[in-house]
Amino acid sequence: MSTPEFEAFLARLYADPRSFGEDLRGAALRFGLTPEQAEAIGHIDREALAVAAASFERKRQGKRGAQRRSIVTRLLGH
Amino acid sequence: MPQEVPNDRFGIGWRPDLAAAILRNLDRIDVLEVIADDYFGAPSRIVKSLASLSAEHPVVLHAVGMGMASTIRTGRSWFNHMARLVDRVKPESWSEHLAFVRAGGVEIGRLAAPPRNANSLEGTLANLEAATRATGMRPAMENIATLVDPPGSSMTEAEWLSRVALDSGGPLLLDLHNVHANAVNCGFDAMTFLRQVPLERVSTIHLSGGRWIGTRILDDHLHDVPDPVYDMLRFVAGRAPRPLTVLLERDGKYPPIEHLLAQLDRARQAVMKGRREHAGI
Repeated sequence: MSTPEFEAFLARLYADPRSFGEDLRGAALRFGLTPEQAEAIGHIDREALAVAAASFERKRQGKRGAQRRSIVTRLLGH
Repeated sequence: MPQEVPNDRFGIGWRPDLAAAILRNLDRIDVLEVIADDYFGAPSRIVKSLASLSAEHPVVLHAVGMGMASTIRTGRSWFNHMARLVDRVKPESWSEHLAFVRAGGVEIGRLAAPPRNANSLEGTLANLEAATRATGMRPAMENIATLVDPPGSSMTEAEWLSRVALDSGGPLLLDLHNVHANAVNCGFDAMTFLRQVPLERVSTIHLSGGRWIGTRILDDHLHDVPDPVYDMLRFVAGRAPRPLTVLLERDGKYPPIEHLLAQLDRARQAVMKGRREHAGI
């Protein structure tokens, strides 16, 4: 079931679930996943996915902030 | 009185905001866990300061960005970074998460639970072998928290985690708050989970706290360790034969250090009780 393509779809889904719309199964098929993989994607708990995606986004924002602080710190020589 | 837990140790995650307070209280902290990724590519003087710390006090390294639980091979540069850090800092051990963090050119930004099946198991074991070869140390692998029950899974989390531990022969870092959160989020019993995983492979335990979002728990490391996690710690201590390194993780909203040390003391008590119960004392 797991393939690099399946993980690539999951990574995109976790990073930005809204861009996939309501029909996750259809999106998975259009992405090139197998019917079995698309079926599994179609069964994801949407509410849990939304909470997880918001958490992932907060973490990415936190990392970007930390990277900016790190660059400034190094430029200042601290 | 005989000492029931001569080799169990209790430590805390090294964070810049806590550094000064930690250094003032090293007599109450047996081990420091340092985030390895923070030192990948860091200036030499920064790594040197970590090496000095490691020479004075037990240090373990904890990686977060390798994404080894994947059908995709972890980039060699990650292992090279860790190998250089291990060589310079000489930690007692290092660890990573059983997570994937990127795929298809997309960075997820947080640890994501992989689909639990034979393919991901095979990929994880291959990555573990490569990591071990590169660094000369077999990493302890940590179970992660997830809000989403990963699609495409043919194994339960306990089955998959057990296979990773037993097939790799490596140690487990068991994060008890992650077990607690997943039990709530994915609807299983935490104690049953603990009975199903090979506790004989557990070398390290993570403790932390999270927050409720509706009916789910987010493992954000910003809150105190909740009561059920101490109960789980006691349970594990009664059954895990190895000496345990128990580490408290806190990633923000830092309370006074005494508050964190009190949680470490409570962890000591829980382990002591578990060990005593097992010994029939």
